[in-house]
Amino acid sequence: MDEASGRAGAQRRADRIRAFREELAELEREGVIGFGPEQKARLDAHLESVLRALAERFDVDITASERQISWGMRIASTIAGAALCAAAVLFFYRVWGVLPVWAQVAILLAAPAAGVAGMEFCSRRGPSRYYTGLLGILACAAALLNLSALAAIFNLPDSPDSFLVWSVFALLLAYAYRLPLLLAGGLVSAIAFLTMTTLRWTGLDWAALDQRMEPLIGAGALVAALPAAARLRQPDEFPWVYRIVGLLTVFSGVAIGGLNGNQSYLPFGSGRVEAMYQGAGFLVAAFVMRYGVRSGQPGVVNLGAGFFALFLYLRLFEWWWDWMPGYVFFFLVGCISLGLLFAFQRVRRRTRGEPSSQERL
Amino acid sequence: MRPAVLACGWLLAADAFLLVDAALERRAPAAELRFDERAFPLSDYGRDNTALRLRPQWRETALWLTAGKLAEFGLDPRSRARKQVLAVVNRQGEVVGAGLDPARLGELYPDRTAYAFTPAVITVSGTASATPAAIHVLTRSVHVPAHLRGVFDRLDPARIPLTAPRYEVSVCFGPSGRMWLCGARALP
Repeated sequence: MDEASGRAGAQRRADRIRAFREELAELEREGVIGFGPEQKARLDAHLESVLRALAERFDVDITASERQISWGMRIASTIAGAALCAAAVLFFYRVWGVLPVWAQVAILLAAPAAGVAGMEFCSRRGPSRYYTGLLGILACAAALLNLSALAAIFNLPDSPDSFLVWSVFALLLAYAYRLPLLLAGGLVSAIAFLTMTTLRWTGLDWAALDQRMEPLIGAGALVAALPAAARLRQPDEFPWVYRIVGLLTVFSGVAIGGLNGNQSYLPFGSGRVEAMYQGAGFLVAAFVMRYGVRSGQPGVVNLGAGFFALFLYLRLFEWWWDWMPGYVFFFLVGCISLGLLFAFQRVRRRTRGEPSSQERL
Repeated sequence: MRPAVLACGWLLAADAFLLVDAALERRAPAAELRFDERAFPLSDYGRDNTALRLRPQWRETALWLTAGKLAEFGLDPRSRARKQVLAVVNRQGEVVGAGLDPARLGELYPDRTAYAFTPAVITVSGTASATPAAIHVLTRSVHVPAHLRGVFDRLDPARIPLTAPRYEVSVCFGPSGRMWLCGARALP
């Protein structure tokens, strides 16, 4: 198991070993295959040593119950990180009024570095990666406080450049310690920076992100395409984070553009822009589903399907709700949902290589 | 380890840039104006924030911002646009003019104790109206450093509602127009 495939690869191997053992036991019960006691003991010892090595090196979940507890730990560490961030920020605000400027600056400079030092200590000697992730959230919150409080102390106007600083900081930490949550935070900051900078260059108020949809959609598309285009050497779970963050941004931009055509650089009337975005929403969702099916990424397929359904229901509501009785509207929505279900079933069968029911007939 | 060190270095470099920029700005104030409590009232942040900030009440009614004036800034009153300029503010917190060149503004408003220049944004709505454009000073609050907060901590809360200003502040403006509090005194 190489370092680049990382924990996700290790977890997949542990899952395969668990599935292999369950299937082997089933086959033995059915009498299809049989091992001698010596062979069985050797196989068990080998699999146990592999699992132990994976658990020690990558902190993977070996059993199903461990996996369930891991989810709880993940949620608990995220909540702990958020609560400790709030405590640290509120404590700083509670005392900073009585501190001289040099002390305020010293604390603001030292806090992110202390967070990173804690991450390094935990990743080398700590009992679990969850503590590294928790300290990563704290370090990023300290970096946010660092720039925003320094700007407040020296009465500086807000600037989109802060988002570039936060983005690079979070991305470097995400890659250093393989933390998907920090990667997502860094990408969101990068999208905000690109969007705000485009708005600023075109003479608009950069702080109002939803003024023009095109920069938001462009930045989201760039982030979604980056893993395929750049072919970076990175942990297995990172490309998924890029795609989800990027595609969510693209879909949000297209959805807002379809609702309000005034928020666009396109040189057309509001109604025409809305119609263009509404059509683009369906096309992009269909393309994303197709891409997800072809590349074997269920998360991408689900995201595309979810937004396809959302766009469809938004349009149905706009077109029909005002002039149709409620029961007819919901009846039609039900029928269309059944049609979608049938269509998705066909897509699923096709990906499995099985003939559809019509083809069978 | 190396990316983590890079992350800290990157943040410290951004901090250093900001601190050096602030130090250079404060080395030699370009103007110093006195405002009373009506123009620079205190801001209340509640029990969880002990910081003291003053919230300038800029009077940004810009009837002087005519189509001709907008053209000087390269702005067309018929199209929606936004441009950063230097606003000229007086001791009442009133925005009385704007320009792009600080040297030219210095010639027009030579008294550096009566007028100061600070970054502001002109927004053109692009719609036909009596006021086609608005000006908005970027600095909306000013930090009170610890060594000046004694004046504000000793304020008499019984004098609310405000009948007369309780304090006067000196606000310094740097060469690029950024401001900071350089003095404060209680008024009798």
